This record gives sequence, C-alpha cells and structure tokens, in this order.
Amino acid sequence: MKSKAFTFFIIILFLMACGSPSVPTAYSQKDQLPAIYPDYAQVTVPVNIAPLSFEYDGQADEMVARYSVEDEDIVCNGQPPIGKWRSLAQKAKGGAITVEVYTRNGRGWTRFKPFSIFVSPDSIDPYISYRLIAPSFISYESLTINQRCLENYDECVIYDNMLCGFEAKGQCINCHHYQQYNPQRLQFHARQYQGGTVIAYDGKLKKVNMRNDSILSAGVYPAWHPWLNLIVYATDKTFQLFHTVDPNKVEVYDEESDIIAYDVETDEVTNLENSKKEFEVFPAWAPDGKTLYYCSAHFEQHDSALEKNSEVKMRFKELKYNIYRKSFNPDTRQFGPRELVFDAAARDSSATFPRISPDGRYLLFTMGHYGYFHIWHHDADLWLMDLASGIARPFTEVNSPDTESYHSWSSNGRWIIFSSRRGDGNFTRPFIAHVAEDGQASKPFELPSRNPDYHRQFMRCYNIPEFMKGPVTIRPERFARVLKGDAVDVKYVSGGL
Amino acid sequence: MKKLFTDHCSLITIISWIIALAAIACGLLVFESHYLWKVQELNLFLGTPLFLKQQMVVPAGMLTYVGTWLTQLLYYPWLGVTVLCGWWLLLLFLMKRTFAVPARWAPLLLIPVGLLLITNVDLGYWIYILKLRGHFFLTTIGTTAVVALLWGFRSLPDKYFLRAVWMVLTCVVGYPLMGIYGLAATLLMGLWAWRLMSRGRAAVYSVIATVTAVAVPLLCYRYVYHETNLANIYYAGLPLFYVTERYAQYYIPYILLALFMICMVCLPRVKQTSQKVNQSTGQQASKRKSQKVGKWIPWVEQAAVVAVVTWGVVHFWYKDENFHHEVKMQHLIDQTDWKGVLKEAAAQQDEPTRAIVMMRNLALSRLGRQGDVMYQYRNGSKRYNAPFDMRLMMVVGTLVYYQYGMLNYCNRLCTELGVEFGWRAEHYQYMIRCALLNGEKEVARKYINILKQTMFYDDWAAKAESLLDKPRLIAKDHEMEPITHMLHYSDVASGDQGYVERFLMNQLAKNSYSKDPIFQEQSLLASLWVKDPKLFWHHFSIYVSLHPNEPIPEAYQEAAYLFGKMEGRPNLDQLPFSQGVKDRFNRFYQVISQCEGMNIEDVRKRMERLHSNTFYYDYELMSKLPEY
Repeated sequence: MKSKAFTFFIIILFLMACGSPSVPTAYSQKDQLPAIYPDYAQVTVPVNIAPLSFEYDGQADEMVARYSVEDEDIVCNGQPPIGKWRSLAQKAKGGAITVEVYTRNGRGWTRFKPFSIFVSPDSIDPYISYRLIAPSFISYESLTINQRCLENYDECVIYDNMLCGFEAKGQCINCHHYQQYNPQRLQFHARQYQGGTVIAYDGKLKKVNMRNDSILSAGVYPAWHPWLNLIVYATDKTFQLFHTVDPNKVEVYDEESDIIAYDVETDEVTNLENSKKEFEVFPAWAPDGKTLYYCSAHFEQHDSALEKNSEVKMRFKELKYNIYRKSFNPDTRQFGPRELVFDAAARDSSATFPRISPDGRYLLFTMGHYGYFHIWHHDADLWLMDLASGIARPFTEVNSPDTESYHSWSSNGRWIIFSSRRGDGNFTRPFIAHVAEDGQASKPFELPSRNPDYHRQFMRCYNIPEFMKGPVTIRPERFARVLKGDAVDVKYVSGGL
Repeated sequence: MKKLFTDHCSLITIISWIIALAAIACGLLVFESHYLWKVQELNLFLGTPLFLKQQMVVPAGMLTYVGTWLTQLLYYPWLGVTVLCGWWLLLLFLMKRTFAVPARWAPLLLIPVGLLLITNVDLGYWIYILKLRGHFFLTTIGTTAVVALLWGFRSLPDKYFLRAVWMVLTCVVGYPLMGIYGLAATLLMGLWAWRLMSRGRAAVYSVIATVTAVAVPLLCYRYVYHETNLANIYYAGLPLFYVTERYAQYYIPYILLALFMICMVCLPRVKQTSQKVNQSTGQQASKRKSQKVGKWIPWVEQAAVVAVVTWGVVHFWYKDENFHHEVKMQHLIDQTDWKGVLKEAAAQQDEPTRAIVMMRNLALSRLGRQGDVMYQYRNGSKRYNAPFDMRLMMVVGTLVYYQYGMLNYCNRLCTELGVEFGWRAEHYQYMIRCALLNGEKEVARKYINILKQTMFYDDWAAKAESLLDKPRLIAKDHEMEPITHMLHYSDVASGDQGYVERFLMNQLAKNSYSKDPIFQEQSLLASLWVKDPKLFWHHFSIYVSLHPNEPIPEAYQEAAYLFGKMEGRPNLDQLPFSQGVKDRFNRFYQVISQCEGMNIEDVRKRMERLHSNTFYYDYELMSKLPEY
C-alpha cells in the first residue's frame, strides 16, 4: 500500500514537473524587446505591488518568462506566483528584476532582449477604489464602486447600484471620495431612484439630500477638507451631446456650475462661487488645508434671444477652463478671493482636475483643447506644474497619444494613478507611475491583473481611481439600507459655514 | 437501462413521447427557425473564465451559464432544438421515475414539457429586453435539476438525517447555483416529507425546508451577492417580466409548472410508490410488473391530455406577423440577402411596423430600386405587439444606424443596449464593423478577440480580423462596401432622443455631400421622408446632375411634380414628367377632394388600394404616423 502511494506521489510530482515551464536551453537570440501585454518593460513599480503578469502579444505557441534577481528567479508562463514575486521584489528593492522572455513557434525557441522592472523602495498605498462603468452614456445598469488591493489581485464591491435600482427605477452612482485616503471617511452620490449623497464617517452612515432652492443642484464633484468636516462640491446643470462623426463621440458640458461648501456635522450648505458668467468645477484641497483649487470657464451669452443651454450647446468648444485657487483659513473657515493659477485659455486649451501633491509642490492636472469632460477627448493629456516656479509642462513621461484623464496622488506623494485610454481608445484603464522628488516620472504601468488578458476582455472602464490607506469595511448591503432610508435635508446658510 | 425501460417506461410510452417531441421540434423548426436564431444572438456565450465569473456574481449564475452555453446551439436551429427536445425526453424519463408515474398516466408528463415550451414561445418582443441570459434552456435545466434533486431525496434511506442533510444542502448549494430552482426543490422536499415519513418528522422537515428557503437567500444577499436587489432575491433564475410594471400573465406557465410539481409530490400514488421504494428492489420490481402487465392505456384519457396540452401550446404561442417578419428580415440582412428581404416584405399582410419599413427600404436601396418601387410596398407604423412600449431602436436601431453609415450612433446604441440588456453577438459584430470602418484598430481587435471566444462567431471574427487596418479590403468587402458610401455625414453634436428613423432622415436630408451618388440619393430620399420641398429641390437638382441621361425614378418625379404644383412653378407641364406621374396626381387629388372632413384613417383606407403606391398618398396621408 505504501509503495503504491509512493508511486502515485512520484507520478504526480512528475506530471507537475512536466507541466511547469522551464527555461529553454537552445534558442535563437532576438535583439529586440518582446511584444508583451501589458507593456511592463522598463517600468518602475513599488515594492509592495502585486505580481506583474503579462502575455506575449505576438504569434507564438508558448511563452516562458524568467523573472530574476541575482540567483533567485521565477520561471513561469508570465504569471508569477504571489509568494515568490514578493520575495523577488523585496530582493530587488532599489534595483531591478530582470525579465527574459522566450517564445516557441513550432520546435524553435526565441529569446528576446531582456528588460528590467525597476523596484522602487517607495511603497504604495495598499488599496485603490474606482467606479466600474461601461463606456456608455445613458444606461447605467450594473454600476459598481469597487476596491482593489494593490498588493494582490483581490477585488470586491464597495457598492453596487443594482442593490437599489430596479429596471425603470434605475440608480446611478458616482463621485466616490475620501478624506485624506481614509476608507472610514468616504462619500459617494446615488442619483435618481432612492438618490442622495451617502456619507460615511468613522462608522456612522447617513444619506443627505443636497438639493436646496438656494443652490444650483445637489453636490457633484467633491473635495473633502484634509481634516475638517467640510466638503466642497461643484454643483452643475450638465448636458450631453453625441457626435455623429467626430471620434470624440460625446460631449458633456455644463450650462451652469457653481461651488458650494457643506458641513458634514451640521448639514449646512453655502455658496462659495456662483457667478452666472463663470462655470466653476472640480474643487480640490491643497494638502495643508489652506488653499482650495478649482477650475472655471468664463462664458458670456452673445445672443439674448437664445436660451442659455442652446447657446452653450452651440459654443461648447469655446469653453476653456482655467485653474484658480482661493485661500482658506481653517480656524475662521473664511475663504479669500480667487487667484489665477494656470491660464489654460491663453493657450487655447482647457485645464481640469487640479490635484496637489501631498508635499504641496506640484499641481497635476488634465489638459485638453476645450471643455471639462476630458475622458472623452482623445487629445487630453496630463500636465504638471511646479508650484514653486509656476512652470507647467506636459507630463510627457506618462502621457500617450490617446486620452489621459483622472489622476490622484498616493499618500506619500511618490506615485500617481491615472486613467488612460491608450490601450484601445475606448476603455479606461488605471496606470500607475512613480514621481520622483524633482517631478520626473517613470514609465507608467497598467494595473496588474492575475489574468494578463483580463483588461482586454473586460467591457467596463475604470473611473476615478483613488488611493486608500486600507479597505472600506462597510458592507454594500449596509450602504443599500441607508440609501433606501430617509435622507437628511441640507440647510442653506448665507455668508459662510 | 433495460430495467428502466421495463419498470418505468413501456415502449408505447417512449414512442408516444418521442412522437410528441418530434412534433414540437418540427413546429419550432418550421415556424420559428429565425426566431431561434435571434434568441441565440441575443444570448451570447463566451468561453472565458471572466464570463463565468460575471455570471456567478448573482444567484442562479451557474444555471445562467449552462443555459447560455446551450442557447448558443440555436445558431443552428436544428441543433439547438434537437438538444432541447433530447433534454425534455430526459426530463420525461426522470419525472416518470422520480414520481413513479404509471404508464397509464405518462402523457400527463407532457404537461410540464408543454409549459416549458410555452415559456419559450410566448415571449415575442420580450426576447429583446429580457435580462436573464440563457432563458431558453434555463427553465428546462432548472426544472430537470428540481426533479433530479427530488429523486435523490426520495432515494436516500430515511436514517442518519440523510434526507434532512440533502434538503438543507439542496438549498445552501442549490440557491447560489440555481436560484429559485434550489428553493423550489427544497420546499418540494419539505412537502414530500408528508408522504414519505411520519407526521411528526414531516412537520420538522417542512419547518426546516421553509426556514432554509427563507434564510439562505437573505444570508446570501447580506454576505455573498452585491448585485441583486433585495426585492428580487427569491426570484433569482426567473425572467423578470417587468418594465415599468410587472406583467404577471407571463408567469402563468411558471406557476402551472410549480403547481404540477406540487401535485406530483402530493398525490397519494406517490405515497404508495415511495413506500415501495423502501422495500427490497426485487419485491418492488415484481409488484410493479404485476400491476402493469396486461393493462392497456386508455387512449381517450391520453388523447384528452395531449389535446389540452396542444391547445395550451398553440394558444400561448406568440404568432404576431410583424414580429416574425422582423426577425426573418434581420436574419436575411445578416446574410446580406437583400432579395430575400424584399420577398419577405412582399409577403406582408398586416400594417407593417417601422422596423419592417426601414429594413425593406434598406433592401431596396441596396438593390438600387428604392426610388422606383418603395411606394409599391405597404407603408405604415403599426405599434409593436408587446404589452410594453417597444421601440424601433430596440428592434433594429443598431442595424439601421450601421447600414446607414451613422457609425458613432451605432456604436453608442450597441453600448447602451449592451450595458442595459447584456452584450450580444450583434453588438460585438456591429462594434467591430464600426471600428473597422472608423479605423479604430485596437478597439476592433478587442471586440474581435472577445467574439473569438464564441463557438459559432469565431469564423466571422477571424474574417473581420483579416480586414484590420486594411481599408482597401474593407472597400471591396461584399458586406461593408455599401457602408463606405454612407460615411459622408457632417459632424453634428446632438441626440436622437430614441427616435432612430427621424434622427437619421433629418441628418441625411440636411447633409449636402454630393460626391457619392449613393449617399446623395439617400439624402434625396430622406428629403421625401421629411417632406421638405426646399431640401427636396436642393437634393433633386444634384441628383439630376449626377444621373444625366438616366430615367428619373417615379417617386422623385412625383415629388417634383407635387412640390412644383404646390409652389406654382411655371411651365411645370412642359417638363419631361412621365404621363403616369401626372395622371396619378390628377386622380389622387380628384379623389382626395371628395374626402374633405373625413377622418384621416378613413381616408387612408379608402385610398389605399389605388393610391398608396404614390408619393402623393405618402405626402398627404402618411405624414403624421405614430413613432415607436
């Protein structure tokens, strides 16, 4: 019996050995980098990132990849196991993992020029969250806000709109946002059926009805003060247009937009910016909590006979957003006058999504030709402004010929995550890049997946990728229960909160 | 197997089942082959781990997965129907064995098969909006699983709480995999316990069954699934016949199916049989044999059952003429069989829907005959025969946008419908075509690779892949070449508000591109649709210059004559209009002058036979058709 078991064990081991890839001994050498997807050649990754799995993007019967650091290696088919990867990454910290790719066509093997994956000693926040949405414009069946552990491939749902929405009573969810990367302090909006803004604050949950006659609309794009219970929102009247021919396919524009402030504790709101000739949007706090950045486009009606929406609809390409800021005194909660930070209009462009690095030195923003919904503009790129010198430049190290849009900084300021449509022009994928103290970025890498082909098969976009210091622990069902309940109405106060 | 035949299924029973199933198969293949093709197209199966994962995020995900896998076989209707009928034969065997139905009552088992058939053929326009993938096979698989689980329950020895464990496992494992069918099996076990064991034990079983059937979905909702509304957790695996309200009549076959199962577990006969099961097998066999030997099946009773089932199936079978024309035309267009589309259009008896009119006009335009004969076909705008508001957009919106070269809108509509109702083969195909024509190579490759994961569309995908980044080949491609003539719209940023035809015709009519005669003629035709003389004259003059020495189609002549008359253009009668154009004009306005004060519907009816083949009729009487 014992000998039978032993034989069986040996056979299993033999079969396993046969099944696992090995480095070919005979091959022809090719002096070019292998075509792999995702493109991880020469990228810089944090030491705690999940394994970078990839597939060969050319014609081959088989691929073998060898990830190595000194005498330690992983030989696999492009999907390194997590345990071994961690050990390898730890060993390569501050250096690089060398990757050799071998492909087989028929009986012959080819070895490509090896490439490096540089392992930065700068770690990255362990979690990100994002909304998963198909690149649709009206339908919003199955929208989810998900969270993903960057250290492995675990992904789970924070909230799913199907928990409340039902057929004609659909529910859109958007604008998830955290106070200083804190997963215990978050907010998101639910629109239409059982809509409201959900705010979670250290275990407490509430649904807020932000509609009030004295403000333009319910809060939209949020910016939570770094430590105060104060959220600044853009409010807007948004419309969509669909191009019959233009490759940009859709335009999203505001007919009006303002900036309001909301006190999480007292549920009071007040207008901060509500000029009829300015379309203010995308507020963002500086990490010191003393400056509020936002974008604004100047728009004056030329034809009083036309309704404003009709005129904006005709002239949407004239909407050029600049970046402004207002000083803020956290003690008195008073804002100062607005100050121009970046004059995009003077460059016949439009700047959106201002985000300040945690050290306060850099302003990262998206630049496109016009408008503010750059995710649908193929020309949109990231720009970086050194706030010390006031010099802004296209962030060429991370940009691609296609759309780059929403971005956020990691809590240590050494990483950025941003949305890009460089893969196929349609589906947004998150990319991560290392940013050194001098503002130079490394080649960005696509969010790794267990199955390297996953993002090519996946039919949804990653929207608003945000770093988090840990996972959101509130169950989706609890959010649903709150949304199904009554909302707290906001109270309008004039002259500040 | 031999034992199975001799004990439970006499040869005559088997033959009668096979005859019944063959009749069903013939009925499906003769009357519904295009419908079956459409069903598979709307229920796409992808052989990827991601697809499986995406199905498993809701209860009954496994059932959906298997159901969708089987539904793809309907690509060849004979194949899908054979598998379906084969499955039903299996179900009949299983039911007969599980409930120990005597041969005399075997035809009764055709009732659930009839009900399952009805769930597939009573749908009509629901197929476009049902969100439950694989529904065509799903109910059959679910019902079979319920019966199989009941068989297991009955067969287990009544000791060591084996049956109780089986019942709880049925719910705990069955609900995530099969949704409501897992719950139904559990509850039926709780009910069957009253026939299989003492009252005290049965009561305990019933309580356990009820508690698990209530609690398991709630626990799953709370801890496992995040994509199912609390209101729907007990219906997982059932199609939701809900748009803005619930359409309860579509649940009737499901309710009858449940009642049938309840009857089967409650009938005294079952009790006797189940008691026998606990006896030794030898005794059982000999007793049953002795019961059956020499018994003739009462033909009248059986015939009555078959007649009722047949009546039910025929009665609930969705027979709308327009619906069937639409699916057939879609299938023919998919095969670029434009002549076939016209043949189908010629067979039209009822007032057509706009989807039919648009597909017919498309076929006429592809064959270069639209200006000559389009008014010879019946026009109209019949409401889609569905209990909810069905829209042209949902039926042929993507097809029409693509065929008319409005690629951004085709792509958008594919995405919207894919998000709302699930990605379908049609969506991927149109998005691939749009991407190829737009030169969006990478996104085309993405969709092609996805479609390669199908069993029957991989060849199509491979062919599309051969066109990647090859505009010359695209321009020569039999199917795509006509579209290349339609890519001349000027860019307009607006919206269709869901009215595909109106939007398209307005865009075409307002376009002024004149270098491609095919596109230009469509602009002219659109100006007839919008009935705008100014736009007509603009396009007509270009048309005439682009087609020198060619006869001008009658429809354009009629429009020119009518608008010329309306505007009082001088010397109109000296222009080379055909005599028929003038005669028809005179006859039409002579008759219509006698209809003053009449309801427009009555005028239409009165003039349809003799005048509906003219632009005059279209202009005067068909201008305010309802839009769906």
